Amino acid sequence: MSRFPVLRRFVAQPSALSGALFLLILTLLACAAPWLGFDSPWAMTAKPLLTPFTVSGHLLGSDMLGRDIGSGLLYGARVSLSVGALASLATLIVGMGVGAVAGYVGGWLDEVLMRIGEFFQIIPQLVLAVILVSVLQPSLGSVILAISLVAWPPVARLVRTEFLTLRQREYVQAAQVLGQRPLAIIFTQILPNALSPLLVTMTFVMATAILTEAALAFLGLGDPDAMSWGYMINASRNMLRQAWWMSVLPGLAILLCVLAVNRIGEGLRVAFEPPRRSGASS
Amino acid sequence: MSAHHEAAVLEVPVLEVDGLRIPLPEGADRSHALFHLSLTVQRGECLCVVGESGSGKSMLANAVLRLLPEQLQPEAGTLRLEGQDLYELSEEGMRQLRGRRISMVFQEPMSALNPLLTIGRQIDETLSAHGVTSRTRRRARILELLGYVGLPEPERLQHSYPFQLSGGQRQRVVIAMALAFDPLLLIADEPTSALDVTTQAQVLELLRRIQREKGMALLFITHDFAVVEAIADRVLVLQRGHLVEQGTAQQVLQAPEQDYTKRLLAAVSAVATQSRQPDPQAAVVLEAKGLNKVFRSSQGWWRHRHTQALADVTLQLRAGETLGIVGESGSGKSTLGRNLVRLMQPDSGQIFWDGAEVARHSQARLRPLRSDIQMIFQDPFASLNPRQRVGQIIMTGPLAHGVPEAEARQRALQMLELVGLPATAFERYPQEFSGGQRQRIGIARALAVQPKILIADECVSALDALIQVQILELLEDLQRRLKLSLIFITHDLRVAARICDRVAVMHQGRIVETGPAATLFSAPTHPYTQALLRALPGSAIDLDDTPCEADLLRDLS
Repeated sequence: MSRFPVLRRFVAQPSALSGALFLLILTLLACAAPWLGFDSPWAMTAKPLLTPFTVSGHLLGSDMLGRDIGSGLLYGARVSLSVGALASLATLIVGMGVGAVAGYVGGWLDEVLMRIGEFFQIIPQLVLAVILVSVLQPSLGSVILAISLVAWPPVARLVRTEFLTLRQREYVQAAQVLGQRPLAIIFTQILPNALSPLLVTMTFVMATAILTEAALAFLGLGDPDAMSWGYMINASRNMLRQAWWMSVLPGLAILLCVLAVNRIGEGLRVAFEPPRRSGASS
Repeated sequence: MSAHHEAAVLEVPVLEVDGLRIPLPEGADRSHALFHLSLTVQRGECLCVVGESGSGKSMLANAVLRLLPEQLQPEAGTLRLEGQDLYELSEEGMRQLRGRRISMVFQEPMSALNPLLTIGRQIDETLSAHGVTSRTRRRARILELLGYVGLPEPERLQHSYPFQLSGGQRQRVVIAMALAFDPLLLIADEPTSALDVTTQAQVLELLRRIQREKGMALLFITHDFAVVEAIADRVLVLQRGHLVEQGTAQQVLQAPEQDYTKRLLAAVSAVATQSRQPDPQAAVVLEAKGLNKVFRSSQGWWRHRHTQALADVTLQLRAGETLGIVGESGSGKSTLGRNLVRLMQPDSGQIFWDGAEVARHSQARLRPLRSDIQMIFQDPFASLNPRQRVGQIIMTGPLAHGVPEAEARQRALQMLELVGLPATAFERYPQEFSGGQRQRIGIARALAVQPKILIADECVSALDALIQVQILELLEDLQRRLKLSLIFITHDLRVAARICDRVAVMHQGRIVETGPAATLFSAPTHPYTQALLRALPGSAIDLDDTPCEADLLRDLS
């Protein structure tokens, strides 16, 4: 028996493994961009409208102002990935906190918290995010805040249901009879058992966060100082006929990134499932 | 061969299994699920297949019905129904047979019935699936069947959904479905294991009556020797896929030849209550006075149903004694246990732990007192956190009460030794242990905080008979050595008779009778206790007195 059966089952899935590798490489490249010879994505370093794979040094072409597309993609990855990671972390903290309190304490507090969550759920997510960002002024912080504010209710609901079922387990009641404190019960008895569905949901939250960030940036609500994929598509939308690569390449980046995160989530889900027993007798 | 057998030997047996061998896939705990098994069942005969869980007894039922999973197919042997080899039939031919000539009654009636269809519809489907086209004939047959299995008002009942029936009634419906075509062979796989004693007695009586009247062959699968005693003509004992012993019920039950059978029988026979005289002057360590608890469940928006789970329950537990709380499911005995350890709060009444009133304490105020009173839970698979190692699980209690890490570790190792587990268990996960071992871990966890009182809630009901005995012996031994006071909650009167000094009988939330175990079991005064004792299979079921017993139970409920 291996010590890490979950990891082994994860690695055994080609799609999940390639998703994880893609994301890892993208993260490394995005972090290392300045040292790889990529200038600022705003710098006009080449002739305008270079077709990809024609000029060495600007392998992915340039836009109408002569800014390097490859550099834009890598610096854009910084924004997309950090927003994705930070927004899902914020969502996780809020969702888990609210869900845990609602599920463990129950009663009127549960009612109130769930009604608040529903309030966020009945408004279309993107519309709410757009309103929040425009009210708060576009910046990295406000984008993350907006995304996590619209994304936490489903996470809270999931955590709440997990807590409600796990609370009834005999080992949780045993811990209560042993005199463990509620907080200790939550962290040692309940949370470890709720972790797998939570992790899987978090990957899907992250994929949505990346998409929402791109949509906000496309609408001109991204951080104005940071190059992002959504902004690149927005800037190039009038040039679609003359310079397709300007919008197709960042679009492809978004697609692959979200796909990779999704595959990781699916891979985790499969890996967490307990292995099927082969027909035991009874 | 017995006299009974000789009369039937000329006939072709209804079921004849010869040299059946079913291999298990690689990596299983043994090479074969069933190894070289041969048996016959004659018309009008009941053959009981007895074994512990994992002995392969259900595999046998599935093999007869040809419902084995793909990867488990017989590699040798024949199965014949009236001389016809079942494994030579086409899939369609087999389908025709199932439900018509061979029927099956399952353990859990709720999962054998479709919750979304009325029971009339479900029997109707069985009938039309086997080509009864006339609607009126089907309808008449449904009423006839429901009446035959002793269900009241078949006219009205056929329109009920499974959830509207009690467990016993559901099992009767399943039996009615199985009887739809008067099958040659009825296979019953633990049909009474999910039922209460009194209901179990009624269902067993029904099966015997059906078998007597219809003369069908009955293959009855069970783990319970008391049930065997009540119903079997012949008995076959299975252990890990091997036939241990086969013979008439009388032979096997009265004079078993094999050691394994003897041990199984010894495990279930109610040992005469040990007349341990508990000291009547001993201090009262746990006391409940006038406990009430009502559960409200909403049905629709305005209607609420109130269930009185505890009604004016008063009891005392003295130091060093074992108090049994017995009752059927729904009698409120588990609710009582949970209230006593204050996992629940009673609506009214008082609870004294060692003289201190705690019924109204908040959980925070209870926490420091909790080391005095501990609980052992029913399900050894749900009561241990699967993400923690055994050591951590046992150390939880001491650490929560401020014992330093090193000392808690020391104590956990002591506890493992005390309950008979190796020290290596400390670093392993509960999944690696069997049910009995897991229950030992649960006991070790409870004892690690050095309690004075232990409440055991059905703590052996999920275990096999032989393991049950080991756990009961462990508890008795621990009680003597650690001077524990024990409340033992169980539905099993034999277990209660074995371990308890005093017994309280619960019925519909009330304690109807309390007394020393020996007197209570030999001379019960309350009619409910008398009915419970009489319903015990194998002890008092007698053809002549069962009808009046059924009447008695109906009056009571």
